[in-house]
Amino acid sequence: MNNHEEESRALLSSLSDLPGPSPQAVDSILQRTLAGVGVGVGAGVLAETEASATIASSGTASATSGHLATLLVSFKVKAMLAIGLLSITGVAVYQASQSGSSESISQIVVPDTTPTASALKPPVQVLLEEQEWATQPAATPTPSEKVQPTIKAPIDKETTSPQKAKAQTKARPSGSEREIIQAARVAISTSDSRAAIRALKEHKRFYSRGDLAEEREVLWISLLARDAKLARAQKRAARFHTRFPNSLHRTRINAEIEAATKKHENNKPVTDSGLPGQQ
Amino acid sequence: MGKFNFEEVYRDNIAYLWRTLQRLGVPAADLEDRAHDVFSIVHRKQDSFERGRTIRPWLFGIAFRVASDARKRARHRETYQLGQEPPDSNLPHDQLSTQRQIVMAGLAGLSLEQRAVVVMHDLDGYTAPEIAGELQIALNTVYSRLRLGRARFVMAVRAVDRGEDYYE
Repeated sequence: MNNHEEESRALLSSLSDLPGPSPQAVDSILQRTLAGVGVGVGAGVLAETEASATIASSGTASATSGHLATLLVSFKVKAMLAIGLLSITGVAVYQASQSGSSESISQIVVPDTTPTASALKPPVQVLLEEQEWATQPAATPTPSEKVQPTIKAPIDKETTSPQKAKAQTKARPSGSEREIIQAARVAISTSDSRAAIRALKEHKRFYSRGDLAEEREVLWISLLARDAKLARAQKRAARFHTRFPNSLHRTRINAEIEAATKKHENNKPVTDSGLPGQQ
Repeated sequence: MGKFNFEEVYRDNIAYLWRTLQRLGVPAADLEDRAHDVFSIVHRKQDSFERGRTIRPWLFGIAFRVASDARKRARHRETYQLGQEPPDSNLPHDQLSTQRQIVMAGLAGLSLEQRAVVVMHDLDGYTAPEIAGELQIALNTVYSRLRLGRARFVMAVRAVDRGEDYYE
């Protein structure tokens, strides 16, 4: 153990002089941090304006995308207003021409097109949400999480394609690493080999080198031993011992394989000589 | 107002934090963003920082949690999986000596929890109770992670040194 300590310290000492950040990175991080936090603590309108300007000009991905989103939404509001104005004017002109009135088009009074509060409510809410998001610090919460509700519709449209939806469900694990391993453990304890194999394969697929990879291998060996696949269990155990030489599961694995071997021997048909398995 | 001068703390510790993030396996492309995340938290929590406490272990604790969250998010998005990226991918090759590459490859095989404890203890020189306090884990867990992490790290480095892929 002490050897490991000395060796570990000696090896790690080579990481004591790793390269540090560039001066530009140092300034950039400080600027971003102060800008983000200044807005977050609400240090007045002036501070907010300055911070927003800093965020917009800092060139960070999050701030830029937030600014773009705000611009897009404000453009959307303007476009809606313009379309509304044009349609109302068109209707008024059409009605005037239909009624045969002698007054010229220029005399037609265009109705007041100032949008009511209720008409503006949804876009304004979106705008406010976007602005709030854009002025938040980049760290928490992430922009994609915050924007999600406002861009829900297009995402839903995309996922309505059955192929895409299938592909998405295929690409995601059924649970966290721990949950999948727990499912495998339960399946083994209830002798549901098929479910156990499914869970272990799923873990291998999504968390190949995860924190519980060692546990997965132990469960595989356990499953093979219980199902009397002794040769495969022993092969896996040998690989396990090479891969995890200091594993705490070492004794357990050996014991399980030994127990399974004994059980297998006892289950062999008894021959005339009285010894199991001898012909 | 905070209990310390934020900008001063930042200037004094940014290089330490940068190296810590590298040692915790944060990819080079994400270093700036993660450092920003850490210092945003530091700024937000500076009022709760107790006077007389050493700042670097506190910074390490925050860096560990930020790195851990980033890994979970990245894993969820499946942009990369632990261990599947080249072990020394968090640094450009020309900046790494061969010895460092081997050491980084050895560290890449540890879980983040083991890695943090080993680095804090064997490189930064923090005591086990300090580590337990900063990472909010039991003292025995520190010793256990240290023992297992060290053994695994050393074995992995030896294997890499022999030209084998220990984790394959």
